[in-house]
Amino acid sequence: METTGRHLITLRRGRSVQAASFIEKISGPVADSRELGAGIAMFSPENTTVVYQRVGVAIGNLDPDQAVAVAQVDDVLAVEEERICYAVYNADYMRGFQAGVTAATSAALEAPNPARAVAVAEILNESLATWGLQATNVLNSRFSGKGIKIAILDTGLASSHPDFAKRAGITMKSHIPGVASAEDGHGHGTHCAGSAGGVATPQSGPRYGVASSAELFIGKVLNDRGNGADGDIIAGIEWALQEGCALVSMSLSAPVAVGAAFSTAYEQAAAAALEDGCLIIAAAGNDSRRPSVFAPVGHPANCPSILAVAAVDDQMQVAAFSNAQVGAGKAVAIAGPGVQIYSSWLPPRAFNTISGTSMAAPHIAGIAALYAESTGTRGQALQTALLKGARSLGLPSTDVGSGLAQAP
Amino acid sequence: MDKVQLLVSVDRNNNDAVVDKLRSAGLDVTRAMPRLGVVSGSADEQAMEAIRQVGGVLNVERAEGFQIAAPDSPVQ
Repeated sequence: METTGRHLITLRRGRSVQAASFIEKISGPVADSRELGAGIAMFSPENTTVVYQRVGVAIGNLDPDQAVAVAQVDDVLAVEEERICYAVYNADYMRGFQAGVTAATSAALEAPNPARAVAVAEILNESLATWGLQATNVLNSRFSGKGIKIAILDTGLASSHPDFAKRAGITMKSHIPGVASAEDGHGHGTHCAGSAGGVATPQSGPRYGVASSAELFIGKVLNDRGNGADGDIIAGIEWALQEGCALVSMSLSAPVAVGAAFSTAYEQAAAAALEDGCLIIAAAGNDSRRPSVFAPVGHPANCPSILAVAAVDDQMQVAAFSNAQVGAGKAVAIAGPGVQIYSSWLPPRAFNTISGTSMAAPHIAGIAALYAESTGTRGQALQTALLKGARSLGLPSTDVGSGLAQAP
Repeated sequence: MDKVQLLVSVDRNNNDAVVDKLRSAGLDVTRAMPRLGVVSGSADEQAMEAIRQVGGVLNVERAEGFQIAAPDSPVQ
């Protein structure tokens, strides 16, 4: 069996911190996957063992003696060589791979994909509206999310921003113990809220918001340093349900290992929400490094009842960082604009152009609000309408699901 | 003694009774979220098994955290 030369270390659940301190003494530096941030999902820096707390696994380069020593550490359940063939033996993965090769081959050898050519040709410049609003047909839609409530669970909102200060229909609440206000001190939440529900006529610059008439429920679940706890995020979902939100947008993701189980609590919450007519939309995560690394859809987008959103760029290509369906893992449902996205930011800067599946998810939440208005559907039926309306991009469904969302 | 943060998934039709039993089993309840069937809280690690055994409990998992990218990061 082919191996990578690295070792997969299975840790007792909840004891990974303790185990890591022993592993460090045996084989050198150990890092927490979260401290490294997005991007280390599958490949750790050389000679550093990376601990994935959520899944209770560490991956590191051990020599044979170190492997034996690590296996004897309390709270280490198993040490095994990392296999290269893991996903390749899986038929679904092979089909996904085949679809990817087919698409890439036709793109390289044949006439340009018509769907892609049309989309690219339409994008002239961003003087009036962002490329994302153009590519998703938002500018031509007669719907604006009127009467639809969208919850944005993130770092909050800069309520003094010129485009939000006078916008009607904004409710803000912090779900973080000890944090009284939902004001944004980071920027991420204000950017996401802008994409989902920014005004139709900004005070300056191009239009960047999808559902300009939707009611926005800003739930602060991440603090100003950008971190948040599971319990507070689920509390935000409960609040969104109490407020009658049809949509919840969550631009947060933690990397997971291939084949890792999803969170029962998030799934329980999302299934309950869906039954109550509330669709939860989450970023698929930014852990891929194409063309070499395809990271699986992260937590909590990997829950069956949560809609996972991938990111594409203005050339209708999947973003290099965008997570994918790996093997028989969670599928990507749909893609949204997620590269070089202009939206609102903390004043005085007021605007920022950034990339991420975090940017794609609120576009999808906004477009779903337009469908909620146009079709009157909620929950599962709304999800069906949203996915049916997507434009195929000729890309593997493992990367972009049904394709790029289109406003009704 | 290590306190662990927990997410307890419970039967949505049987919430109130379960929350009281969870407290008796050692869960310091932070939030009971009846609409979702989720209770968050903290407990001594040794109490996890007792919490898992409470009638109406579907699953017990450790709560963890998220960290998004820094504000000046190009990818968020």
